[in-house]
Amino acid sequence: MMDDAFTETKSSRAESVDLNSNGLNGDDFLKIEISDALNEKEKVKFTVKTKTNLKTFSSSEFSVIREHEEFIWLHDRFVENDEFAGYIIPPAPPRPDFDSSREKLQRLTEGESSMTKEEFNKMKQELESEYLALFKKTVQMHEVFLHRLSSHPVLKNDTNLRIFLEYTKDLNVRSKNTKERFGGLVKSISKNADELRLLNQKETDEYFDGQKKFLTDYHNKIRDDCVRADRMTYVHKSVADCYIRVSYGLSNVATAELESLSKFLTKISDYFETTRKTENRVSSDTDLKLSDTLRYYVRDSKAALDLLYRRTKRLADFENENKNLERARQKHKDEKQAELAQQNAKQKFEQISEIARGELADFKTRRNAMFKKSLTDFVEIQLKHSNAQVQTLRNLLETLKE
Amino acid sequence: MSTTPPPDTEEAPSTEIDLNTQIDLGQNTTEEKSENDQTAPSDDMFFSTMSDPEPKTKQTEDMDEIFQLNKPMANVNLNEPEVDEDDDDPFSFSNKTPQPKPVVSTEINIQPVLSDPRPVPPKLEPKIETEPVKPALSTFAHNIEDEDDEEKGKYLEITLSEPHKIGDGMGSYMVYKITIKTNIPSFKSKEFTTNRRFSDFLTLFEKLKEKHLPAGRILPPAPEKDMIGMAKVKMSKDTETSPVDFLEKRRAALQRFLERLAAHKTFRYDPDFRDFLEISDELPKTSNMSALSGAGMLKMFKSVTESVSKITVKMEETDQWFDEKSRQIDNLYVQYKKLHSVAELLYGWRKDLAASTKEFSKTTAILANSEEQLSLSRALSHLGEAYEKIDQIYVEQANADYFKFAELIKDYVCLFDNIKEVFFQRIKTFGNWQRAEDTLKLKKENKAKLEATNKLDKIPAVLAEINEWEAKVAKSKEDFEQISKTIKEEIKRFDLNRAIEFKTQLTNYLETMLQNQESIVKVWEQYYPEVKAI
Repeated sequence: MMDDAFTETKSSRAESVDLNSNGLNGDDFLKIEISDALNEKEKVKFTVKTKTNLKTFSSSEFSVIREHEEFIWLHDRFVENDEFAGYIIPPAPPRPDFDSSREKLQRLTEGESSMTKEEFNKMKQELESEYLALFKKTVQMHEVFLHRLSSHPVLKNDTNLRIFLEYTKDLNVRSKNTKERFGGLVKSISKNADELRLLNQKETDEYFDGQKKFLTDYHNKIRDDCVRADRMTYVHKSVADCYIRVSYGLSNVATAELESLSKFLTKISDYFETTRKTENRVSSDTDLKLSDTLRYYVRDSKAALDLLYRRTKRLADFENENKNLERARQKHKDEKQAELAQQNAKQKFEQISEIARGELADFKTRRNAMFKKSLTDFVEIQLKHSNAQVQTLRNLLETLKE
Repeated sequence: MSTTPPPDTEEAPSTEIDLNTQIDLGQNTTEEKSENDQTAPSDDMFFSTMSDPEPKTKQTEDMDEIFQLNKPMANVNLNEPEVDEDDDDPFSFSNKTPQPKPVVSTEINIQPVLSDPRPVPPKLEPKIETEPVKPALSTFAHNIEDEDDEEKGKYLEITLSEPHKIGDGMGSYMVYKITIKTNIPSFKSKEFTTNRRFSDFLTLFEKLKEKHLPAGRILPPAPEKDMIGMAKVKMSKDTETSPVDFLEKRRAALQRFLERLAAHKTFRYDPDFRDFLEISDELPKTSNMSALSGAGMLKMFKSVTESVSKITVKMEETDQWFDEKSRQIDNLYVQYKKLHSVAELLYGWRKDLAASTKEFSKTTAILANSEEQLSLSRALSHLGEAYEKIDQIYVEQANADYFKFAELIKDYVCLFDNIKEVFFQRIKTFGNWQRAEDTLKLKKENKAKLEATNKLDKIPAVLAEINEWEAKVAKSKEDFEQISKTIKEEIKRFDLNRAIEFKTQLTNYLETMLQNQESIVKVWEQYYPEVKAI
């Protein structure tokens, strides 16, 4: 049952991305999917399968095995490439994290003595399906990242993406993990310092000024909302898990009780066992359809903010060159050189501004479409579950009258 | 075991421990006690404050009760000074003056005795919380008809309204207005109201326990003390900040307590219960309340009595019914207790779910404000509203989890515990009978010895003793048979009522669940067009 839910969203999410793809002109296609994934020794191995008719690839169908670090490597190549500075780089997939799942299992084992064997097994089963769901979600996040790249008119043509998809051997990033991570840390520190410096950068363009204010605010708000959504689904899951124990409690009472009550209580016990599955679905589907959309936009709005940051940086460079040029003219020294630099900076700034406008507009329509899609799915599935609950309860009350 | 049991000595202060006093405590317990009480030191400051307790038309049996009402329960007096027991007030020891009467009496005067038959509870914030108790009322009312032919058509409906606070700070206390509707002829009128405070409920419980537990009757769960909760209520300045949740939980528990009494064919006619409902003045206070009401103290005594019983009474069960029933009750007690802790857990999680849903609805509304696209912003804003409604539904569901599920189970955990006590009473009664038999045997042996040694002059005295003990044996045997019979009746009634109450209450609980689920469907149905409009 759980599995169905996940494949369901997987395809729907792919769909929603495809809907907005403006990248594939005519008959060109580049289809990527993660057909398989394996969790071995703390490491997830994804099988990335590609089908394409793009001439840049040496064949039309191939597959490679990739790890999470390689996805990060690919993401970083895009971020570092100055050519792509004007684009919103699709957010990197989050690192596979099964610690919480493992921790829960640990806690369950510690509390084993307070439960009956059956109760314990059911709880364990519940955790296992939770783990499975988490695993599928991880795979899905990695796939979405590749989909975003493959559906982008410019990004899909990147050489590094081609290497990632085609090169059958390791990308040689696996051993560099710690160093990379360290490098990343230094980078983010210097970036933060830059951001501080750029904080005082005056924005002359009203549109970008508005977008920056909006995105900063939006990013913070959606992050808060996402945290709350996670808390809510977590508690909902706990209610559903509690139903297991209520069901067992009632069934034990039923066994001890008089005949006249025994049947009655058994029916209610069975009801709790049925309904806890539905409640569980309510929780996991809210997580999938709602929280995950929020979570994705926490990261995507950050990616958009990064773009705005890069643009501001170029604006600062441009203004700097302006000053240099002025100084050079006053001193009549290296005028030509300064003019060239100023022209270059101006061009770079204008270029990024133009691309960024398009990208931010895309971001807007994409967000609209994705929210519409996932909220529709979300409400439909909530209706399905709550109607099912109503029906189960009505049936139960009917049989209790007998 | 002592060979010559002194039947009338009262060495131990507690009746529970002193098995010997039980010999004479049969059906006419109260008579015996009132006699004892008269010789007890009259340290009762309330002795003279009692207003005319009852009209003279009462039966003699009732007279004993009235008599007793004026007395402190001397034999349970645990050398506690006359402290004004201020409900749960842990600091009340500093407040040694008796409760100033005028405060309460003026309070009572405000409320006309026969005014509104069923008072609309003052509107406090969580309206839903007052609701859950009503179905219980119908359950019990229904049960009355189920019992005896002579009880058919009789009703005694009791409603507790939300309490109001009297006084300020730690000296304050809560008063409950009780509305009674009945057609039982022993009540003076058909509809009336009275005001009682928490300690009055406790006093009533203790009085009933003293009278009816030795007779083998199953008492309803005792009102529970909660010092911390009550202290919070006392310290709060006005009703807005006072913990309504706590007050409503207690009110509901007290309501159920009275309903269970009203539904019982013996308790219903108990003069103490009637006085509790009918006397319009403040009830007299017993000096031993603080000792009695400390739940920890009670538990301590209980464990002492139980261990004593294990040493002193060895009873081989001759009645198979008791053997089976007692094992069954023990098992049920354990299972219900487990279920109760799980039910409390469920209530806790559900409350948490309501709270986290509320938080999410708030942050979603804020996110909607931030969203620049109008249609998406609207959809998010409506999502926030949808979750606000769902939060309310969860709050209601949490209340149902508590009042209609957890509390029902909890009451039965207490009831099973009370049954265990009743079984213990029977064993004590059996012990009394056995001791009487042993004594009689000794006396007879004594007589035989005297006959053998030809000390004929002492024989008449021994013969008198033998006669006396034969009577006592007969009496205690009768007591034992009587308590066994009563317990069987009580349990038969209890089993019957339990089946009915569980079916009614749990069906009601599930119906509430259904209503809530239907509300959730409605919320999403209303929201659906908003998503479509993005």
